[in-house]
Amino acid sequence: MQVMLGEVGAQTAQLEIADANLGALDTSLRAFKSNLQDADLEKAVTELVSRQTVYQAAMLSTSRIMGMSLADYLR
Amino acid sequence: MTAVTAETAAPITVASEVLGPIPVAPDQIVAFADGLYGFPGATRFALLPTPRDGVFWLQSIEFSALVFLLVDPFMVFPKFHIELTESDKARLGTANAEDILVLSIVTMPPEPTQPCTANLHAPLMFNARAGQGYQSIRPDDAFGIREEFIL
Repeated sequence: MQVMLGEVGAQTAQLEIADANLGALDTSLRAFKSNLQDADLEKAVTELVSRQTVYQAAMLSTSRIMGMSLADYLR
Repeated sequence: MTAVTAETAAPITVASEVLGPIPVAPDQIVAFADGLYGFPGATRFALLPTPRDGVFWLQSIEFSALVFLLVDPFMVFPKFHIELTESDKARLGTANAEDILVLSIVTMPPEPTQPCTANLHAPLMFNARAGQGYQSIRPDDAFGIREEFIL
């Protein structure tokens, strides 16, 4: 019985992740298709980033500080 | 990495509905043997850098409309950490942290003024050396499926 409940739980988790994946795909496509017809890689990302310019400067400085490698976090 | 012939080392052109036709080098191709959750048939992706550090595209090679934006969770979530499980090691074929890349799928907000979210509970894990990846589901609830951040 416990094994069965575990399987149901695992399947529920997988459905939730599938739902999240679908949502991520949907919103990303809509975000880009709304105003990017023939965007190249750089333009697409520039557009993406400029959507939140208010926070961009702060984030950039943060991400530069966070120059740690995965090995620093894996334990 | 095994030796590659001149033929296999040549870039291929991948169709992408978002990015247009894009050149993809062989070492940018990642095999997802089991696909992603919800997309079990998508088994080959191109992992492409963007001008932004820690931000990547994951474009399906088989399906032009299937493209995800990925973010390095270590960069945007200072508290993020991950413990390698035996399952991770088996799926990735390595326990060497230097070879392992962890990236989270980004969900864009409905309104530009709202934050993006990243899936920290089910991050993608890559064996960068072998060109293999899989979507893990972390065994604990330390981090959620929709964690807000500013891109």
